[in-house]
Amino acid sequence: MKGFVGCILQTVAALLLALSCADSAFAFEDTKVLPKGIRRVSLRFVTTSPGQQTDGSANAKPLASPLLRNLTFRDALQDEKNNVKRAQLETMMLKSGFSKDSVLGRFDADLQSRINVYAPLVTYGVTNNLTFAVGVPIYSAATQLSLGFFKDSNADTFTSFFQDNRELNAEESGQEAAQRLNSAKENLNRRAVENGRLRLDENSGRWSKTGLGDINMLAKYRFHDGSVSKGALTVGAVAPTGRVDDPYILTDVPFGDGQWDCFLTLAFDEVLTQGTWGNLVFNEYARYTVQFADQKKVALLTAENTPLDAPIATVTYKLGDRVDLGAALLFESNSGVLSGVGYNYGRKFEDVYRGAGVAKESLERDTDVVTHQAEMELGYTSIPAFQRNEFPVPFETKLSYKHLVRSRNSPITHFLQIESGVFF
Amino acid sequence: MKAIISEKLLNKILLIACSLLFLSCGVPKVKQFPTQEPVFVPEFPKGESFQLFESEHERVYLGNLVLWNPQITAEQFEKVYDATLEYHKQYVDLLNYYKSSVTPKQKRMGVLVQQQNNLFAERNTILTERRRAVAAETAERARNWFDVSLSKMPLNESEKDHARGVFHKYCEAKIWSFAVDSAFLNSKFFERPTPNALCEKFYTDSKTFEFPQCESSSTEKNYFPCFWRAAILNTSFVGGFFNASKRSTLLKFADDTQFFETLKTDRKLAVQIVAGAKYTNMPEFDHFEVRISHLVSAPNASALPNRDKTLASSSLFQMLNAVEASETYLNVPHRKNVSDLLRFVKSSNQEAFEQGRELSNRLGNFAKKDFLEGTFSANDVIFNFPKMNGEPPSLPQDFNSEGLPQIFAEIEEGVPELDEKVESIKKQIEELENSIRLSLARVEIPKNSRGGSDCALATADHLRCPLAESLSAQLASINAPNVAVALTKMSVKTRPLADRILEVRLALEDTAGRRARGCISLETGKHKECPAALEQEGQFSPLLIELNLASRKLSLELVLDDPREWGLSGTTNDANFCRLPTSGIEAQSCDFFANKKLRAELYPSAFGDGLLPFLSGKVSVHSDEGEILLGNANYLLDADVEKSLIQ
Repeated sequence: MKGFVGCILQTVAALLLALSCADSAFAFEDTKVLPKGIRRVSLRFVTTSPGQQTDGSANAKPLASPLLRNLTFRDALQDEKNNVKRAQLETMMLKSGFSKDSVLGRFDADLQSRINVYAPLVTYGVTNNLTFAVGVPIYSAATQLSLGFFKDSNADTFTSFFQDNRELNAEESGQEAAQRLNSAKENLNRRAVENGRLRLDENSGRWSKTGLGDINMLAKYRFHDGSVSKGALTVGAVAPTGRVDDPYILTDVPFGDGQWDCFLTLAFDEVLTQGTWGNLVFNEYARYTVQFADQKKVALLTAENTPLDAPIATVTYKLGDRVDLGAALLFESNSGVLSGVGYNYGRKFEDVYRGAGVAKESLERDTDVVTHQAEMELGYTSIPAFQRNEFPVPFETKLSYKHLVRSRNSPITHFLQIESGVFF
Repeated sequence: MKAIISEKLLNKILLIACSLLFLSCGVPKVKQFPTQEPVFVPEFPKGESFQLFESEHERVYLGNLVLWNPQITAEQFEKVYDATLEYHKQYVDLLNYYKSSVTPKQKRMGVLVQQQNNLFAERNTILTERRRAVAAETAERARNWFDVSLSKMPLNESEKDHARGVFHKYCEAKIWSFAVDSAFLNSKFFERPTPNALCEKFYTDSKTFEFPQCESSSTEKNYFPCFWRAAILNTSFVGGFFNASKRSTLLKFADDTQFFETLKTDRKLAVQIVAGAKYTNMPEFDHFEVRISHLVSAPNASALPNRDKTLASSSLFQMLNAVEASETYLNVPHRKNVSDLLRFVKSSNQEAFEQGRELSNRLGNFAKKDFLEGTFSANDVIFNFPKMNGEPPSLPQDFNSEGLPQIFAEIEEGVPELDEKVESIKKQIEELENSIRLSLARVEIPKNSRGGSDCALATADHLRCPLAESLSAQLASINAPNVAVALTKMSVKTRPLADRILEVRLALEDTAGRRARGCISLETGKHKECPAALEQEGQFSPLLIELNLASRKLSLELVLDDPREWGLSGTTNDANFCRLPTSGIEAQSCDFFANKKLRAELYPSAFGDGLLPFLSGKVSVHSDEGEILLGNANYLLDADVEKSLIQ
């Protein structure tokens, strides 16, 4: 069983981080920098609603898959703390013809999330080739969980066993078993609460929070500014200012990954055509992000426990470094209309945990993330009009859409982004 | 134109952006799952077979209380479960077989036994009639024997008077003896039994028994009060022993039915009254000192010569014993004369009496016997047995039958025509017994229990014995000592009282030990004050009980103030109790249970369509901190089932 829901959505946060990053004046990577002394203030809004994820084999599965599980006799036995009662229950199980793996019922769950990020970006042209930028993302996230339990025919067979075998004189035990099965959802919550977790149906299964995300800072230097080709190098860092995943809340969304990151981006633009109607530019970029080691609390999930009762411990971890590659075809008309299509490839290498004991494997499993995204953009900039003195304020606004084409170990999420900014 | 296009595009972008902002608000919608279909809930059994607490009769359930070792494994529990359940299933099979195969034969045997008893009764009636005829004839001869014998003796009148005096004292003493030392104290007769048939003429002449209590009855009655009344009012001893006040007190008791009931069960008291010992519990008899001087100064005794005074004063018991023990007396109805009797009386233990020992001492010693065992004499066999209904009492093995006349021996020889029928029925009964034995032998008792078994299969009482041996063997084979912390006997007795109150008694290990008792209303299932227990039932500890009217669960709670008194007295070395390693409990002996609460939740049920009712359920031990041990009341079986099968 995969870990908490929050762990899955952590990947969303990572993807959002890239979108909220201040290193690009546009949604697409490019080599543009601000002229010396020019500032740009913009607000970027990104929204996504992941409801599914992909596993290590790139197969889609619900985001709530950690909660989609069978209730077996093994679970029922583990839930019984009294050893004598457990032995008696196991005996009744065997006598009624079942094994520990026999299914008594199935938990179904639907988890949907909505994550909005508002990221004010401030960019300043230090020189004509060097631009500094800072992005302060504000997250507003909500998850909604719905739980269901469906009994298996085994459950009726098992409780009938007590009535069919009057010599046991254990009808009350049968009633107790039926009662526990009939309140399976409540028992799930009870187990969660007993282990310090937030109830899954707290506030009707809804979780929401607004808060600061990881602040990122960067410096972009255009080292080559030819008429046909251009090149820029970006270095930056991400501060761990956002809330991390809370292992006691099974349905929360982290706003940051909890440790410092630094990244390096190399981007190139090639002007394919240049005319009176505008420019057609081909862009390619590569980014490498180093994620430093740190410590945080995690649930030590093993084969013997579940997210509901796994012990919580502080461990040392290092998230895998990221590699992002992409290419795009951008069109900038002289009238100010912007458009583009592109492709992004992302890869995050496997995480490493220390001090997690036998839970290490579970924590590191399925953390090697691969994403393939198609991207398109439509926007308008008033800069050409401003330069022609046809518009009083230089600004730009863009609508972008990133579609996850294929992924592995990633939430299936598509991003819509709106960004507007003014130059002064 | 460009500006217009740009403006339109900008508007559209802004419109989409606003829509997006609007749509991105709110809570994500999730799938709503249908309400869970409920799992089947077992129902408690219904029907008369399970209404055990509503029984109109007292019921006793016996079984085991098992407190499981907290470290018990499922494998161990399963083996115990299998063995126990198999044992009870076998027992039910056995009962079913017994009911279908053995019981009918037993009923047939019951009919035959009844026929046999009827024959015995018929035979006895015939024998009784014969005995009565012989007794009537013999009684008449005995009645006249003294006078006839005396008249034939060469004695002058003075000597004859002397002989009559001694004989009369003897006859009076026989009344006291009969009132105190008779085997007939609780027996009933159609007419008054005689202390001695030889004395009946004296009794008639002296009107000794002319009291309503002594009159014959059409139905049987007990003549014990008659003898006390006669002894008190019509014997010369009383006039000498007791003053008027004491005599009046005695008379009052002679009319008190309950007093006689007491005397019948406490014969030592009766003897003590005669002996005149002190009675701390009965002030009316205080300071009754019977001294030899009283007898000597008694009117009837004072006229006797010195030598006979001693004889008379000692005649009460010593003389009786001596006379009755003599061969002369035993053969009285057939021969001998009074001179032989008198000769014997004169010569018996004369020296000892002359030593002047006080009679009170001797009587005191006599009264000190723990219990005077009434014995039958030849007089009883000949004259009193025929006055009783039915078969006469059994004679003790050491009874000397030589004193019985030959005619009585002939009577006992039997009634040939009836004896033949009895023999026939006896034969049929024997055949049935063999058949039942064979039926029982066919019962499939586990083979491993047969070797070396002490169980007798012939009677239903032992039906469970071989099964229990088998169960023990199986428990031993699964290392049972590690399964339970305590294993003890448990009995629960339910008794219906008035106003639909149910009394429940709980005992552990030994019903003679500590017991607990509580009551509930069957209307509400709630606690009710029990009526006071009878004094002879002893003390009961309080038992908190409650009955769930819906589930029929009977909840009991008892404080084990002293575990040893409750039968939990063993140590780890004992065979059955607390002998197990109890890691986590820190108990090496049953002291662990001190002041803990024992709770039981018992449900009524029955095996085999009500054939074998039982109680079973959960048992737990609690301290102030909560539950410590968990166990089971393991099949407390209705103790009356086997008995009902035999009937």
